[in-house]
Amino acid sequence: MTKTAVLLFLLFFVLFFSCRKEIGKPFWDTQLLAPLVNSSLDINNLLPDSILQANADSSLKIVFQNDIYNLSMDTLFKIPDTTVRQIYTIPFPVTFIPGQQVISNSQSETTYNLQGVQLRTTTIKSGFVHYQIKSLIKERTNYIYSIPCAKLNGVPFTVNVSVPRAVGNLAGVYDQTYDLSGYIFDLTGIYHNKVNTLYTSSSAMVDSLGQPVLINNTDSLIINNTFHDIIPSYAKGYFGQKTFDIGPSETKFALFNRIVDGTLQLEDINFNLKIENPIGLDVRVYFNNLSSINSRTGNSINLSNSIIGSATNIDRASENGWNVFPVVANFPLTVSNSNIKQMIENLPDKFGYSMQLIANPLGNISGSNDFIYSDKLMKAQMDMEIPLSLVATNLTLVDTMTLNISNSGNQDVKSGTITLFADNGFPFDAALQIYLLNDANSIVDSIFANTNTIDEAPINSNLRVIHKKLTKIAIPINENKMNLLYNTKKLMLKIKFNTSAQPAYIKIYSEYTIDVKLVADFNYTVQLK
Amino acid sequence: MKRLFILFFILSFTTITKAQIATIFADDFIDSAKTHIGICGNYDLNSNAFTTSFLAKFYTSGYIGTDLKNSVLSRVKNINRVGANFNYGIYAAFKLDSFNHKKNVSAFFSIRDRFHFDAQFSKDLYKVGFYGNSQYAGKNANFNDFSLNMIRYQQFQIGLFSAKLDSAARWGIGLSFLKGGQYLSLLAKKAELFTSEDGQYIDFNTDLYVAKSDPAHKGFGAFNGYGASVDIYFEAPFQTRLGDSKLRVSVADIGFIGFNKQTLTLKQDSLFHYTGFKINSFYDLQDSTIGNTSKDSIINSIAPLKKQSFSTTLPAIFDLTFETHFNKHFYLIEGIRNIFNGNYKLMAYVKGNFYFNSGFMLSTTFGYGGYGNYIYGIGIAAKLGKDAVVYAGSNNLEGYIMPKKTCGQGAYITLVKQF
Repeated sequence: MTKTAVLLFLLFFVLFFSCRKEIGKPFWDTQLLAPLVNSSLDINNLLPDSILQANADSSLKIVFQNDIYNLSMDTLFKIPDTTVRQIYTIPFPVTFIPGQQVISNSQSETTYNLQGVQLRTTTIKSGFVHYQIKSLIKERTNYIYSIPCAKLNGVPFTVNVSVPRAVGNLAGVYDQTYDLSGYIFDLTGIYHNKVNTLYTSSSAMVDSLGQPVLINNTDSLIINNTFHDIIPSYAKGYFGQKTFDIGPSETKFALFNRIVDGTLQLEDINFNLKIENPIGLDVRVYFNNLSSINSRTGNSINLSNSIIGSATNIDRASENGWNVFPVVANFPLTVSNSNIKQMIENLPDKFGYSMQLIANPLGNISGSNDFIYSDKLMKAQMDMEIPLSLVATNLTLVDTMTLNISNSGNQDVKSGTITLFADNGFPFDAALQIYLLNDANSIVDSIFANTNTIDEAPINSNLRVIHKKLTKIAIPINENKMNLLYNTKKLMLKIKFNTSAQPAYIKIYSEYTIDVKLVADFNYTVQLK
Repeated sequence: MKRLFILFFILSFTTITKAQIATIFADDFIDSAKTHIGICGNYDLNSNAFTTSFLAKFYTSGYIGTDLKNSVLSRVKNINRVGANFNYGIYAAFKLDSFNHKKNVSAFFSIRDRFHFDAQFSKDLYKVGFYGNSQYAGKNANFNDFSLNMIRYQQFQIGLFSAKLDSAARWGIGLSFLKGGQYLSLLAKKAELFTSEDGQYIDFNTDLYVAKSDPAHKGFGAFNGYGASVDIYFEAPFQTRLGDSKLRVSVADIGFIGFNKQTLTLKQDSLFHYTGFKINSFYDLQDSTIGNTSKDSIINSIAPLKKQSFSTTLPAIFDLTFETHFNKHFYLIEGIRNIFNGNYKLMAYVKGNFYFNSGFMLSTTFGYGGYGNYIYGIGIAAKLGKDAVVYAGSNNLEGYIMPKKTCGQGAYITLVKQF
């Protein structure tokens, strides 16, 4: 009976714990009302990638810069990979004693063909020399290999190497690659009267700890120097008189990337076409064409200005030590001297260009003192200032956003209403729509049943905003749409702007903001974790 | 353990099981003056708000539907209680030859694992937790006087008591060393949640105190602190015109546990004004931006927890009974019971012990108070052979009988062998 009682007691505990098993995850529905996000957005938040600056009256302007073309060192010249092969033989059999020289300071020049470019000196940014010796001498030989014209901190490139003895007809081989980064090469040759020419020097002797060795006329020494992947950081000489036809080509223009529809009229625009020459090289430039291209509409507008088709000489840069003083040529394009306003109002996504550059149009007038730094490139760029005084008519911006709403088991938002509170301080209204995209970026559904418009702020007679205006937009999301959102990875935001008081130009001031708040009232399933 | 804690928060527990020390004085069918050993265990749970059906669904997982939530809502009052206890252990008692030149003194020791949970919460807290805050648009949800305590510790107790003499009073005292395991305490004297009419902001005004033992050490083996407690028992027989009577009074668990410096504490008296996640651009309006803010970092930013040592007093149990022996077959016991520092409501109860023969007793209990409302219990004491007795039963049957309307449930069992 006592045993039975003990068993009963134990059973009590066993049952208690076994019934617990793994505690599950109960879940239940709740109706939650809570703000999700809030923000106070100024124009900077609406126009990403742009640089906004405020004028004295706090009105804003867009300052934007776009490169058109960069002239690199490669365009002027490129140092090719080169192999120099030297073969040494003894005309008749001689016995060499240990320490006796076999080759004495044998120098060899290599001249590059750089197609009109005559370099006198260059600094190596990166590059290598591959040094290989094949010896048929039956004793170890020691070599001094140097490039006297290549110096690093004033010390010529020199290496001492030892080549093993040949065994039968099997040559002793030495094979090594050396880094030449940072070396300054004098390319005027042994006697400093050439261009594009470097030279090397080799000496060889029988190992002083070896044995006397008989060297026959068949016991050759073959030395291969291969200079490869040489990229200069600096070069000096005469770069030749060359003509470069650039384009027709296109360069991307990102400022209006998100605009997909509508028109934009600008009150003013300041545009400057700039060429900066940091190369010690005279240049003559011909602009053949500059065009504003809107790929979406297919509309293209060519620049109308006196620089098109005219020759412009740009003087060479100067250097003082390592300091370079570039020469800048500016070509201002204004509303009065060009059709630049129409070109920008075309809302281009790229600019087309075609031009011709003539290097050293007057020949070698620098006494072979042209210079170039690899990190200082001649570039043509557009600088523009666009005062935000505008008329926007159905100006439609589109952008995509990634979405990753986690759907963890039963813990989900089932359905509900999201309310957008927009307190708009801008003098334009904004019609808003958000689309759900599939993996192929095709629209599968929209958040709003109809397009909803955020009202414009009221303005006074000076066309300035008096106060903000609140718009409340309810976005019902049923269970089907919510499920669709869970499976959506991308959203497309589409906003259509119309400025107030059209056709008057409306200025955008730095203090203008829109306060946005999203409030959710949704059925949420709580699940304990 | 976290889920267990949440479970116990939702569950409700109560008991009128004897205070720990009183178990040792049990003398039905045994002579407590003799050497005896016992093993015992009990659990109890009760609430004046939750129902057994609700808790069963919560415990076994699954969807808690509106009907089930509504069944609890109909019971929920402005102030609601939940409570739980789970204890098990062993003890031994033996008579000393003499103690301070006195005969009839026995010594005892016991080792127990103790768990206690209790909480007090408002109706609004239940409604917000299980229905959401949408119904409170433009209104305050009142969570004031929210209180929650959970403690687990191990107890090593030694003590003395006077051996049984029919005509004399008995006494007992036990001193305990306590090993602190887990502890959690939340106290919000003030806690109000205001949801604006249009949901544009939520204000949470709270005066909150939190203490939580080292979360890196949990379970039976956790040693996060130590403390001491004392139990006292007194029994006085006397005669009434109805028959032999006894007055019993016991207090148990008068003590404290000091938790170590790894205890996380928070004292916060603040108004939190929430207007949503702040974003800086339309293009931040995506889950990757919003969702990356972890709950822990939010909690830590608005309510930074501080590590420091912390001491807490134990929930102390007071029990007072008056026992009348009407005849050798029927004893009637009236009693009151309270747990101090445990969100407990004073309980009054009556208990009838029916002695069918020299080896079997049936008891029934009826009471009101504690963590629930009305309680009903039944138990037995039975001799197992010559020198062993089993005490078993439940002081809370109502949750088993009416699971959709009540909550209380519990069970106890003690097996004693005397030598």
